[in-house]
Amino acid sequence: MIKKVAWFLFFALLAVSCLDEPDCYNLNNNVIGISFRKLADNKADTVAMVGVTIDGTDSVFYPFRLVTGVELPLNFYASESEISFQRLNRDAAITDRLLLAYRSQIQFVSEDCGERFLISNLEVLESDFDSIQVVNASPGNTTSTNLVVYRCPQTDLMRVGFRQLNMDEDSIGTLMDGFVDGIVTDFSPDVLSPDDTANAFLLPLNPAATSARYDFDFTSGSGHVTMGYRTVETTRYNLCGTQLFFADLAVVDSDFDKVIVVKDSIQDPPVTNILLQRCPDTNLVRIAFREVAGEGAANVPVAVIGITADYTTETFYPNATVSSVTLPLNDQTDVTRFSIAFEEGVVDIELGYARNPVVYHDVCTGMQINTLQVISSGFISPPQVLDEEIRFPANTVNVAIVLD
Amino acid sequence: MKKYVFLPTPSTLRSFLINISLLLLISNACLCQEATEKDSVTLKDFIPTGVRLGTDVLALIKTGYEDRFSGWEVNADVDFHRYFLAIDFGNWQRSIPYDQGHYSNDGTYYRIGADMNFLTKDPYKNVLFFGVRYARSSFSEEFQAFITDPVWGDADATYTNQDVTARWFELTGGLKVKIWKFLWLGYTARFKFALATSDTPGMLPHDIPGYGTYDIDKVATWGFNYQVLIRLPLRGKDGDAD
Repeated sequence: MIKKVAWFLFFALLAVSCLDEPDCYNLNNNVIGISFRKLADNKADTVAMVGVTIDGTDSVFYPFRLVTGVELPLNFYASESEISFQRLNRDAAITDRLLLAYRSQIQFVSEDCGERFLISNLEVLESDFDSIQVVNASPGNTTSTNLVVYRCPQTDLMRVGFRQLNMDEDSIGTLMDGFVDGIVTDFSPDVLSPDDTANAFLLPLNPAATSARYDFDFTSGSGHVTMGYRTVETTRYNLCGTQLFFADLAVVDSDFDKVIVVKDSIQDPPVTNILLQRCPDTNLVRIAFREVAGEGAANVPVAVIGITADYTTETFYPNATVSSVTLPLNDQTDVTRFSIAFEEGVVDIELGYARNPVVYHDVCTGMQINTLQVISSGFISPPQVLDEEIRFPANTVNVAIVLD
Repeated sequence: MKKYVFLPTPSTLRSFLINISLLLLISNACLCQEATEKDSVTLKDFIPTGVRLGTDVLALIKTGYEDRFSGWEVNADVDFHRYFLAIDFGNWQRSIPYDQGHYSNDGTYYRIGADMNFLTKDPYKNVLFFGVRYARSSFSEEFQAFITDPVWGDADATYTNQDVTARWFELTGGLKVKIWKFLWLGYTARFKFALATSDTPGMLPHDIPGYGTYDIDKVATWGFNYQVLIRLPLRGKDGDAD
């Protein structure tokens, strides 16, 4: 009898141990994941999102964000949600609409947790995207991809990069920001990239012609380049239909120092097609202000009213506090005199040098300046020549002025 | 060196107890099998010797002390040699008020299936059994909810499921022990799986009478019954030991 009762009690304890307490965290599954991909290579597509809105709420999701995917809550009170994706495309904001249908079911979970909503049977009713695929019709509690949006390749965007050439053999040069007020083409009244600063710009080609001219209005100066190309109409992706592809890009005309074509066909995502290159300045001398003499001494900040040279009316560094200055030598003579105006007065320094004609990167003509020396100076302590050779970029100090 | 002490969580403790119980059941069954002699079985052995009628004590206790539950279940089985035809019928209702709403349901259910006894030589006709069940439930439920959401706003709504049907299967195991004369006690452990319900477009069921809490993320659940039974012999003195 006791044995029987013991058995009975044992399994009674077993039953109690199996009572389950629900976890109230993250009960709803109404968040769907949408990933953006390129149709050409099925890789992630970066979208410049202005904002995503969903009917039924004033919330704006992903405002001004670069995204390769978004997670959005569906309206669980409804069985349809219209989602508007406002994104940037070629400097303009465009809106893609997506209408989703789904089943939303409420479920009472527990006294502590209350209710939850479960979304299932997700389907696309309407879409402005090139292609969209439902990969998981039942959102989960954790992040997952439910929809994949595919984008057809953009075949007409040429990437133009700015480069600074140096006094070396590197034909590519270093990245250089272009301070652009605007870029205009010969086939559209639109001003591209207004008030923009970047080391590369995406410029559309003219599908109706075999050449396109681009005029760059820089903050200081201007330049133009005309590109020639060949167009081919073909269907590479059935979903995208027949598209116009551009090939054999070539420079027809330009007033930039140098233009090279590094990729003569258009790719998506864009790769740099042409480089607009700037020749190196071969006459820039770097002068530092110091309190003590010697190569390892530190530069000290000095207030200057302005610096003038004997061959130009331009004033350099007006009303500036500087610890070093980079000044252009006159490459037409062997001597340049600079007048440095301090609050206490004007002090002259006269630099002498040797000049030899040189051509960098096939097109950049200039003078190679070396054997730099201080001919005369109004400073009490004679300025020191630390590097006799002019280099570009001017990273090394050529002359050190010791202030007394 | 630091020593780490791992305390069992409720889930690991639960798994441990389940494993132990299964081990006990299986070992018990094996020992019994070893003791079983290979006797010849005649057709007469398949004539039922008795009918057990009982009720689920847990359901009655819960009805007594829980305001939110009301239910009962009756059980019956009849033997055919070492096999039993088992039938259960029950009803339960829940009424769960909470801060932001109220849930209630009401429904009946039945189970029908067969058990196999592994204590065939027990002089008291105690039963250690494993079996299968097919179960069906018919129920209605109502959920009044005040919902708050930071994105989609608030809503005060009532959701109902009327005349929902559900079916599932069970693997069962347990003991039925003769306590005194006609009085028996028993328990049944149930592994419930393959649940399917009729369509409930607006609301997923919360609690299915006979099955328990419905969790869409779980494919199975467990259940237990504790029964008080009366065995009515059909063949007089059929070898039962008192």
